[in-house]
Amino acid sequence: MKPDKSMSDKDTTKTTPNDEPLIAGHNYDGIEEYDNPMPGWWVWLFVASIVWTPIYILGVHQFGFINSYEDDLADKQAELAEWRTAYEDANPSLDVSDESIAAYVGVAEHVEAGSALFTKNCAMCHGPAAEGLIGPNLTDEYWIHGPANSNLFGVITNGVLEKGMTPWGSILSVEERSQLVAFIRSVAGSNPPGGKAPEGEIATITADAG
Amino acid sequence: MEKTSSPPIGASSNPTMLTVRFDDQVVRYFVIATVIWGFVGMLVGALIALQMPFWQANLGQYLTFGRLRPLHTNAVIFAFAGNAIFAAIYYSTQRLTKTRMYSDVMSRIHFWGWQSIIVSAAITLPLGITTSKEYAELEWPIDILIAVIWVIFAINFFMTLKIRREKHMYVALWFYIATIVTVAVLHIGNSLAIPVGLFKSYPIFAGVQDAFVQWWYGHNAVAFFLTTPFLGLMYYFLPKAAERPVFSYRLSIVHFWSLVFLYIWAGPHHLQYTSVPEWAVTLGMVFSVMLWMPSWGGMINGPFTLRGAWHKLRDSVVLKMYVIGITFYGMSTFEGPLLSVKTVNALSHYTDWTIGHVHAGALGWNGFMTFGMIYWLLPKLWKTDLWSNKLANAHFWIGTIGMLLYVMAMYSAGVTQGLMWRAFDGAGSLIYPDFMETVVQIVPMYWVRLVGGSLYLVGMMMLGLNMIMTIRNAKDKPTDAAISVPA
Repeated sequence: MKPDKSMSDKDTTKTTPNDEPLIAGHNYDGIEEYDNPMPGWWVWLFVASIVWTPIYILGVHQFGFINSYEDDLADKQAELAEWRTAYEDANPSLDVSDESIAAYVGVAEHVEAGSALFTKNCAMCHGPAAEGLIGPNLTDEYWIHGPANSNLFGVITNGVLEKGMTPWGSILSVEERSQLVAFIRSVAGSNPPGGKAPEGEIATITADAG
Repeated sequence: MEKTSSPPIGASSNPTMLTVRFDDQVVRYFVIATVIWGFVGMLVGALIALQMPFWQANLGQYLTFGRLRPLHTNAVIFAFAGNAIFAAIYYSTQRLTKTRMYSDVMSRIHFWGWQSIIVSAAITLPLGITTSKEYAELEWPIDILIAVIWVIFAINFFMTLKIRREKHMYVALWFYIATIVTVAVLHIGNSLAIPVGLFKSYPIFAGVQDAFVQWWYGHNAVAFFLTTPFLGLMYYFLPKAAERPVFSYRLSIVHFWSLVFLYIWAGPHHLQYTSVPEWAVTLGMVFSVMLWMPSWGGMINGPFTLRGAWHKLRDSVVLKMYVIGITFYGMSTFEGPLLSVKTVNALSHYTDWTIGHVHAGALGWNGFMTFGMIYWLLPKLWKTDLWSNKLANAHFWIGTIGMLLYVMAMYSAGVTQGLMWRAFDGAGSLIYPDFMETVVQIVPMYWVRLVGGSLYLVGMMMLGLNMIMTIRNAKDKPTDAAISVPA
């Protein structure tokens, strides 16, 4: 059957590469269509993506040779733990104790740094003057998780998830957390206005011993 | 030989011939609405782009970023792109079926109904009346109106197909059919809600199910509102403007069916690394990857149609617009599958990379295909020359430069954010634990985005001016085109 070439005769015959056949009878408002095959690379990439699909699904969800979310997360957590261990091994001065923290307490520069950290990270829950808000009052003599420097450091580091306290261990450095303890010691007994009622057990603390 | 499906057009004194006059007036309406809403939508876009680096531009509660952002997305998607595809559908369907639209009244109801939906959106969204579902923010009374208007449009369209005088349905019509059917299903499915007042409702789905339905809708709004109708537009207007046959009929069939089959599954890739079960996200990802070639089927059938006609690009701003539009379509449909891959998504999710991706699609593909169509239609609809080809060319360049600036800024901002969020130091601590640090870092990119977006907006205004002047130059009330068909 002779193709209908009402649209633009000379263009189709002269400038078309090779002599591609038009599809007979296909002429829609002057638009005609070639009977060209689909490009080979297109077909094969499409086929490849279809073949890959069951391999990927089974790899993640059945045979486990491709990582799932949980696998990826565990791998990364393990990697980070390794980094942390290696870093701590290489920096023995990071060993934290009541004494190591006591070296920060009362030192103006550290208290100031701690104050800035407190304003930025802690004040939204503990109040701008540590008077307590969602979190407990840090200026009184009552402590929920123990009064020692290392108790405070531990709470800052690991958080108290059931009470909504954030763990800061992976966010603030050992030095920064020690500075925070130094700041908290500096506001002991400051009795700011609007202080939250005491929580926990009473323990008298001194500035240097903790 | 017996004549069956494709009788020759016109040029006959045969008394059994009948003159069919098309309804081009409704196309003119839709074209004008496209330009007006395009300007409004992009103007709001420029304002919210300013609000990001310059918070003082948040003017009172009604004009804050949170209220205006959905107004911007609704305006450019449903008002700008929406009116554009209706113009394309009404213009090309009548010609491809050799018949006037089934009902002029339904066409008018569709036009005015759609504009009233847009106006309702423009009023309710700044007032904070919203379902909070992305691209489906409008509350239930407006949702019902959308469903009614869409069904009227569908009846009008399918009745036109029923009374068509061309036996075969050209590929553009298949894409329109897919659009009309699927958008109805998506819109109604995702809008199922229980009203608790005139302006408030709650979805019938809860939690993860709601998220699923929402992104089944959201992703397929991209597919069936911003992709399939524009492919239909391309299949009609590109060969018309290039005066070349379509490269491959077979490719058009295969990529059409594979596209519509695969797209509908890809939605869960929007919910990677959330509480959606991983198997569902895996499905979303593999279907997105399989979708790559079906998308590129359209991307190659367009430019390959231009073989032997590339010299026409020198003089035709219409073809230049199409080439840039299809190029951006190819880029964003490669990027889409890429972003759906879990390891890539781990970097890109929640960053401005996503914003860059959608704007490559919206500004490049939807915008430029629309502009090309309008520059081609203006002289035909108003029976006069385009007022200024020079201005149209300037629009092409300023639009291209604008969107390149826009997407480059968002790509670099997105990758910067993604890398900063997950940067750890040697001690295993986050290097940027403070979110603000990562925001401050990308503020310069927000300014570049504003410049790019503003250039694109200026291009839109050039189109507006060109349209107004072309219409003013049209001598009389334009007559609608007509053809002769056997009675």
